[in-house]
Amino acid sequence: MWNFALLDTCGISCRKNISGVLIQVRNATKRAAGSRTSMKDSAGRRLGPKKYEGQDVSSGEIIMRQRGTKFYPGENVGIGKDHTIFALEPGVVRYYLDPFHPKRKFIGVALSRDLKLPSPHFEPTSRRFGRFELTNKRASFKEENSISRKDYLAKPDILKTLESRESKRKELQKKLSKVLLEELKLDIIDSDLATSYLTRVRASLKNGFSIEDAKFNSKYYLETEERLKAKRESWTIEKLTESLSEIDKCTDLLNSSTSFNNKLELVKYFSEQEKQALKVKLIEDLKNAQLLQTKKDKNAIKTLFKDASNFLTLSEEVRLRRKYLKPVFPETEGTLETKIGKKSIVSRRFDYVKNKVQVIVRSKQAFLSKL
Amino acid sequence: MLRRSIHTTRVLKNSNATANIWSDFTTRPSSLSIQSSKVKNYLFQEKPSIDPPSIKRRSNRIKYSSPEHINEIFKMSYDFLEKRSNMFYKLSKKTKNPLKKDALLTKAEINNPEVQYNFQFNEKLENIKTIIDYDIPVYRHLGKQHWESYGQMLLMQRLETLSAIPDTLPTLEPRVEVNIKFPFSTGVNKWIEPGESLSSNVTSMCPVIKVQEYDHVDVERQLYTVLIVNPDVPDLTKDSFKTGLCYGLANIKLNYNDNLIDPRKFDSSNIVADYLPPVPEKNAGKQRFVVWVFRQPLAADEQNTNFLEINQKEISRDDFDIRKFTEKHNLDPVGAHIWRSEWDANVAVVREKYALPPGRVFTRVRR
Amino acid sequence: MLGQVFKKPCRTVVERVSGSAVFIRNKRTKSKSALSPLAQRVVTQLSVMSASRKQPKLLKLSREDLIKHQTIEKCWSIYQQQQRERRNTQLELQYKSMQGAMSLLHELSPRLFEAANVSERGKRFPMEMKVPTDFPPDTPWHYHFRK
Repeated sequence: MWNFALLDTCGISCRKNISGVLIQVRNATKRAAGSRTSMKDSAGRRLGPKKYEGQDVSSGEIIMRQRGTKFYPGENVGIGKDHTIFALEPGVVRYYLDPFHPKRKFIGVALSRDLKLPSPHFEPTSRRFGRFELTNKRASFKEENSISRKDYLAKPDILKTLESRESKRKELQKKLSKVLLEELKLDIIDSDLATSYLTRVRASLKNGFSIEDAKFNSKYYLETEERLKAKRESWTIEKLTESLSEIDKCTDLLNSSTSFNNKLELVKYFSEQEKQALKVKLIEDLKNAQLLQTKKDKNAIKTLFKDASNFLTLSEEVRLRRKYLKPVFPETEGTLETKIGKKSIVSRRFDYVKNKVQVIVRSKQAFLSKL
Repeated sequence: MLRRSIHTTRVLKNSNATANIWSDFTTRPSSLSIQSSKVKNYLFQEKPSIDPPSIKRRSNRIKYSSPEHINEIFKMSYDFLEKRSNMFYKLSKKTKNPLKKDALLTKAEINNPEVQYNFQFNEKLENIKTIIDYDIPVYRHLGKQHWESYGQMLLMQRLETLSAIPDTLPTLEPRVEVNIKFPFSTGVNKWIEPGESLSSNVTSMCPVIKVQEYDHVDVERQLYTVLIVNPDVPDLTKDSFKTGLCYGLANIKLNYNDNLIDPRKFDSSNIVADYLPPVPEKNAGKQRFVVWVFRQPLAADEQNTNFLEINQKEISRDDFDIRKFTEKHNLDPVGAHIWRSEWDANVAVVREKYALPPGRVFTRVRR
Repeated sequence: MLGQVFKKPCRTVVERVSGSAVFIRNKRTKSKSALSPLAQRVVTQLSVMSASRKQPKLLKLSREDLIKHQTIEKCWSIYQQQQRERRNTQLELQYKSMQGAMSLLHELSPRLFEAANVSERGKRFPMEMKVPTDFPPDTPWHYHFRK
């Protein structure tokens, strides 16, 4: 490099050298090179094993400090963010190799001195329970009733919903017993048993069980409850069989005299044949019914549908209603109008075949709600 | 090239009386055909004008157009595959080995579009026998494929990560699909996913267990044992854990389609151990409840009964050794399931119901 | 801005901004697209912005058509497999018959066998050699052929 600073300072000498050739000047002092990084050296980080093979450790004690995972954490051992390996259980330190990871060295803690690591692959793992029973009555009571903050905050809401659910259940049971005693007039001895059976059946049906499964599940629930009660109160066998036969009788009576319709309301019993016959009759009636033109026709069809929920499934009923009680009637000459008038109703629809918006003018007679 | 080969099949068809093997339902079970006549008509239609009945909404049906020339090519392919299936049927009639016969019958039907339609678009777990009939080898094969694609892997992952596998039995080679449900306690109709945490209210009454076989087994003679064990019962004397027996059933007969083990399927003679609901103690941690399904050994002689005689008094329920038990009775573990339970506020109610002593309370901190 | 750009359909736009000419380079118009380059540019920009354009359209098939499609695919794969197998067995048979002929030749006359197995490395197929065909060629003789 040309040293321009030097050039200025030794301007005289430059003028002396008329030829103009510059001569580089080398000073006496020169900075020592390479000092930038080599001067930094930290103290040793005291890495290495803190506990050796076969040494006893208690939980939390550090076994190895290392940079990177020179050793991997094995059984009953944890690893910190700086890869420090520490014991999770009290026991004996083991340095070992694992055939499942042939390139790794492991540190583990064996729970007792006679155990070897890695523990056999197909044997049950040896685990330490590590807790004590609280024998003090007050302490155990306090511990049992302590709940987490999250649960504590959620508790009032849970209790509230429980209460509302219980009140709803009570209401339903009251309703069911009313239907049983007043409408169907069944001679039921134990009304509570009957209503609890029916609420169970209803819930099972609502949850999508088939009717046979719902009946069986509910009955089995009642029987099991009874058996457990007998065991608790150490009933005699006769008493238990008597109460079981009572359940049997009650459920049989209910199964043969009641059924749930598709709105899950309790109605009188319909056998499958009856349902089929009623369905056929309804469809026949609907076919024979007059075309919907007046309010009277509409009401006639609605009365046909009045008890349909008792013998049709929900999907069947919906399908029939859609077919025979269309909210907007098909576009025939009677319902369509040519001009937009005061009494006509205009709607627009996209025609996917022609890729155009269609304008449809209908008279009020075209709508079920405006008949 | 394809057309030429199809042309030859048509010539052959006239000479062969049983060429229409897939559409001749005089001897075939009806579950090999699509139930809905609309769908079937659409699939084998001559006129391309009908809209697909699987699209429910009218506007979507109008918008939909099927790929060009799909019907002609489908017809060709159908004829080609049908002819091939005929060959497998002939081979299967000659073979005596039941496993090979099943494999050939599977090969004969697996490309049948009606079978594929039935299997792909219907409920596989709670199958309706008229649509998916697991008595037929092809449906068993498809069912197994479906299970292996997700359910089996999920189960094995849960069993391994929750280390149910070496803690109860050494390992499992899953061959049957096991599903459980608790319909009696709450009336909720839900299949439990392996490893799910359940509340004590849900598990307060016995589960029903669905055991779906896909392999070729002797349905008339094969019996099953079901055990539910809990390997996490605290053992304070050893400062460790012991295994408790939660539920045990034996000598249960199942078949391919009717395989839900609920109290209608067995009586008191089948019960090895009555159902004891999970009642974990406070601070004892989450407990695993592992359902094991075993195939019982078949007697060598057909006349002998396969019934296992299990002495209930020999079984210690609170310190149960499932390995010894399976070894003693020569049981073959074929399926498993797992759920977990933890202490909750309802446990005391369940304990009272089953007349169990009040639960212990453990220290919150481990020492 | 965009409106201004739209009005000028020429390739390179020269705009006079306060007396000095500014050149705007547009996309090359060698392509045969019907749109003008500027319109094409706008279209490109819009297509980049729209995320749905970036992925191929999902083929919507009804259930029945999906089954049909699967059946066709299956049939085609089986057909191809059969072809492959047929070809392989044919090749195998050809190889076997060749091997049989050679071993027979080796028994009958080792000298001829040696001659048949002489290495032909570096030997090329001569152009003047005619491939045996069923019919005479269209041009029977290349009069101006020179090696």
